Amino acid sequence: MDFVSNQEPQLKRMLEKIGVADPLELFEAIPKKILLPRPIQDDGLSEFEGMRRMEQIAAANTFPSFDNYLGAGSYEHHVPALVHAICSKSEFLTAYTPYQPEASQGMLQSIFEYQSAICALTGMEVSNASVYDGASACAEAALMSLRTQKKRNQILIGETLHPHYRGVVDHYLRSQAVEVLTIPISSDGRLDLEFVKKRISPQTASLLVQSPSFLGVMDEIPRLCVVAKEVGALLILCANPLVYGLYRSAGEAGADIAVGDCQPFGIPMQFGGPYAGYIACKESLVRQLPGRIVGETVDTQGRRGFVLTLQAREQHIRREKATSNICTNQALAALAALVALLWYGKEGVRKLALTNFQRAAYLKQRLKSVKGVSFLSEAPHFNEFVVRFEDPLNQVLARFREKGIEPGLPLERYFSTLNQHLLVAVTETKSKAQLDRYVEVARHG
Amino acid sequence: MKYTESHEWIELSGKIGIVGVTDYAQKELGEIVYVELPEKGRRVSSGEEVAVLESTKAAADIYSPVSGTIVEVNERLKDNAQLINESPQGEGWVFKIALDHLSEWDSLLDEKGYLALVM
Repeated sequence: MDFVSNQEPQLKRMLEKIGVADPLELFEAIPKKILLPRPIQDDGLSEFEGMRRMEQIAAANTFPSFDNYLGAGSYEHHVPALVHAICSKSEFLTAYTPYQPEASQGMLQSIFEYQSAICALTGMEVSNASVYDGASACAEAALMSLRTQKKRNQILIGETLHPHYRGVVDHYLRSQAVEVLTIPISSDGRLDLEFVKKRISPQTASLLVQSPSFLGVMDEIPRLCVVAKEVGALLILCANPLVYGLYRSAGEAGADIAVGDCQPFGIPMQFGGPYAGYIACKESLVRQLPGRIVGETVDTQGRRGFVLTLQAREQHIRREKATSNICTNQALAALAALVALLWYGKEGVRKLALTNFQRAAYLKQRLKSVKGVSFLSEAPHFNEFVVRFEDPLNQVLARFREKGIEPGLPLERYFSTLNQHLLVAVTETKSKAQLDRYVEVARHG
Repeated sequence: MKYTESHEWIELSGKIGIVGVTDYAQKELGEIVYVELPEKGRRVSSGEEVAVLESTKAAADIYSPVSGTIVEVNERLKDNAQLINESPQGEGWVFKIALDHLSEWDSLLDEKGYLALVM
């Protein structure tokens, strides 16, 4: 639809109606002293000069030349070229949210396929069209658990949920009459099951835990599920979705709601966002699932088509009683994740996950022979683990950086007791030669 | 049978009231696809939200016409919400409530009063 602005006669009629001679009179409230008397003479750089200047500034960023082992929720993965090719189609790239959704069958179909992919990956029965990010997916899932069990007012959250996610969850729960208990970690880096058994009660609405955890550890989800089920609490499992290529799915582990961030699939790190959060659950919880859900149906002539379904949960219909008033669908980022997933395929996702696991395991194994290096946990991991250096950490970091390696995330900021520890992420982007170099620098400095 | 301004009906049998929504209400909502029922044993006061009706593109709350305790809910609605469309003032009843104060009954609308409201 073209945008046609008002023409002279219409402007004149409007001004007459409100008794204003000149449109500029409408701006008189703006103090004169902050207005420019006339346009600035210097019209800045030309396009060419501007681009040169930007390139110079960008060249000051030497990070791309480093071997990057930073993860902690945002991972360096190869983004298949197909992702950009599909996502830069203007039908997807510039489309605003379809307010007459059924007129946009292509958009609805892409969302439907995304939901199907998330369900297949997580082993859940229903998925929505995505939310902002992994953090808001966690928060929305926590609220879901409170809404389905209105008389319960307690949530247990694992200490190893990503600290940024935890911050968002706390913020969402601040205005709810709910008690939040933090499940501490035991000596092996996994959550303290005895603490859970002791503190869980018929008041517990849900357990919110992350596995692989923020510290890279695969936690004992099936055992936590059993404890949760005993009191009728829900288990919310937050996970890097790539892990499901290798380990059992959230559904198989017994989780009721699966949440996390789609970033590892087809979404570049891009300074922390935008990403897309996934949230999927058992069908019995679908009426509490926030956001948009696309369904498949047939039209009056029996042809396959897609619709927005169960809209009575949503903010444009139920307003203040909607399942959420602070969520939206990250359509473009979710599409990128979908395209990457389809490109890899069922077998490809398994291989990608396996490669991630193997390379992380290789580095961890080789580091075992290095003096002054130890590990937080011998519990199973995926593509991330915590390593402890005996030397002061600032010296270790300087040593690695001198050799063009960013060796991992210092954890003291998040866990004060882990003041000599780095969180190391290894993805398929690291070759054997690079991993060997990491070990050499760790060994000799 | 008595009525409320928010389109519920209530029928009394001893101290137990049977509550549903009026024919007018079901017509306004259109095809009802889901009913969120209250919990048995819940204590409610008159005018309190007790249940939710969902049609394909709207949602409406059901308010309790009187104060009391929910003693029964219409389980058939869980799988067959359309009973409300088919028989709003019969098989499509929503819940039964034990009245705290029979006097509340008198302040509700009679059929004439309700019809005057929706005509």
